[in-house]
Amino acid sequence: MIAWALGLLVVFVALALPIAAALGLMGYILSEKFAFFPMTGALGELAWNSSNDFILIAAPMFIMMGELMHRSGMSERLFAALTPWFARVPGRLIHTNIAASAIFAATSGSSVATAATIGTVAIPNMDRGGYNRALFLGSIAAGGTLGILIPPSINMIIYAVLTDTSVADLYAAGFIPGFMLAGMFSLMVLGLTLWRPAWGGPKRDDGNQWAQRRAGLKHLVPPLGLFLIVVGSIYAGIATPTEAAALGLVATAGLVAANRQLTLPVLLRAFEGTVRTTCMVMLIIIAAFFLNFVMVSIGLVKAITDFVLSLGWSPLAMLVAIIAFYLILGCFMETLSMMIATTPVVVPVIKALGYDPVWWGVVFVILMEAALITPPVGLNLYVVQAVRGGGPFRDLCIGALPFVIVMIAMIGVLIAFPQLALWLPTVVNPKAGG
Amino acid sequence: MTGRPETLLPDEPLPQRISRVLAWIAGAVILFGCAGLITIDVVTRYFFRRGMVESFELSGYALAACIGLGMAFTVTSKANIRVDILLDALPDRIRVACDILASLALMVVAVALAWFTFGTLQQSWALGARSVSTLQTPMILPQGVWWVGLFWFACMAVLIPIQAVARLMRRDRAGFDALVGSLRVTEEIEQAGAGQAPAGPPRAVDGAP
Repeated sequence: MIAWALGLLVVFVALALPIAAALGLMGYILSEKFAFFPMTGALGELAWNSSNDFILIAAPMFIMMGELMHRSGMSERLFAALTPWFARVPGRLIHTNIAASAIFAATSGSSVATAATIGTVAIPNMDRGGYNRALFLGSIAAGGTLGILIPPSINMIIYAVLTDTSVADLYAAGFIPGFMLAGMFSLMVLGLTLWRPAWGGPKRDDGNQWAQRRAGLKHLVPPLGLFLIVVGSIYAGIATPTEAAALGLVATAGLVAANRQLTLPVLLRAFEGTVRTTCMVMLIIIAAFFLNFVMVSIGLVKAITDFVLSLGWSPLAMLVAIIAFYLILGCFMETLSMMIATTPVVVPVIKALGYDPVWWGVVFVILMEAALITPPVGLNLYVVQAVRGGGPFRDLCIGALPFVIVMIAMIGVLIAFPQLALWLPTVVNPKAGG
Repeated sequence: MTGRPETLLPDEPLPQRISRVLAWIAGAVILFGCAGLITIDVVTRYFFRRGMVESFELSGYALAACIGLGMAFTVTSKANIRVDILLDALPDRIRVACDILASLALMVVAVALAWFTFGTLQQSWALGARSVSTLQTPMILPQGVWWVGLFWFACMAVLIPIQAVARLMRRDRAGFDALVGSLRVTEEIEQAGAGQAPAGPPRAVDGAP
């Protein structure tokens, strides 16, 4: 049974069938072959139930927020406000890239939106400041991936729906590792630019910058406000995660309108982008739910879990194997579809090994971040390359590498100290199980 | 870019154009039907201790409407993700075969989805099913909108391979690729909207995570 499932999956994916179609057909064939009664009848009901899932409503709203936020001018001002703070740190603007990404990530649930927005503002300064191009571009691509780790996060919402965990817990769990990862990125850049000072650009003395630093602070207000609305309102008990996303979208639309940029073409393009991504994801989710329904019914999920446990590896060894598997798969597969397709199988195994699904959610999202910047298929690399508008793609692949290593180190830290992820959920929500 | 909506419609066949307009409607449903209604409820609940518009239930229907009406646009804009790493290395003929096969596979799934969801719709109709809430919404209403969209999705999924093969027979290889060819990196970036590519209209940044 496992061999059949695996074989079908490999063949369908190798034939380059759309992921949703591959999962759906796999479900159909497995049900015809192994089920006692046809299961396709459940498809209609499954599709309807996932089509009006209240938690999933947050996903399109965050996607639209990302579409609109790019046009609000917020990121330009945020970037300008942060720049003087790093004027004397070796690596200057590279740290600004990371810090701006982290703050922007706290208002955006999407990595692509974060990388595109920060990239647009930062890249014109790259050659002007004489930075090492690979490192500079890598910091934007990698910084952008923080969008899905620092709450809010579209990926966490979908993970929550697939695994029946709490979105509020996942957000809280991602908070500390998210900002820690940003800090580790910065430390790594600091180390590299101390080792090779030329990478951080020629030394410059801009004089006393305190006036500029103070003047820029007011531009931190809009992102901070959005963060309070989208994340703060959840823990203040005002809104559920989905309702918070709605408030965030309305506030973002208001910001764009206040900038007089909410025109019909902007809106319609935002609608197109939102619907395109949402429906693509939803089709995969519907197919994955159907496949999962079939796999559970014919006992395949249990068979896989039993098989993994029967290997007799220690939980840690198994965990490392799963992480290695995702790092490799992440080079070749689009992130979100990889996540949706594998979660229903992998999470039961993770639970059986004795790991917390909320904790794994955080580790999983960091693995997705790594997948976003590992060539050949790493969406953020392409996004930054497109914003740059020319030059060798190799720069990005090389520049992203040190950041991938830091991500792997972060996963190691999380394995050693799971409380980094699991402590905050218990504080903000005492009912959360550890 | 000036504000005439006509300029927003690229030159494309009518079915594609309909799918695009449906996607606009689907997007508007998310902004107003989900975010708008939910915000009204959260605000009134905060100030008056009770919601006003039953957004919990209605936003679910709005999402379903968005998914139904927008699904066809994923076909016409080639949004459905494929792992095409291997494909690039293969000879052209095999690649064409794989592209057709992929569009046929999507067709099968789309038709199956429309077929089995029709069963759900029919059942709601036969039972006169209503939602278990104060609204007592007849389920046939939200499911009807959702299903009409999925039916159009199936129609598009059937039409696209036919259009593609027709173009191939006219030796219009570029047209074939534009319809079902795997999304090239340049196209993907244009779709993701990050590209300031001079060709084509500027796009908003895709929120794809």
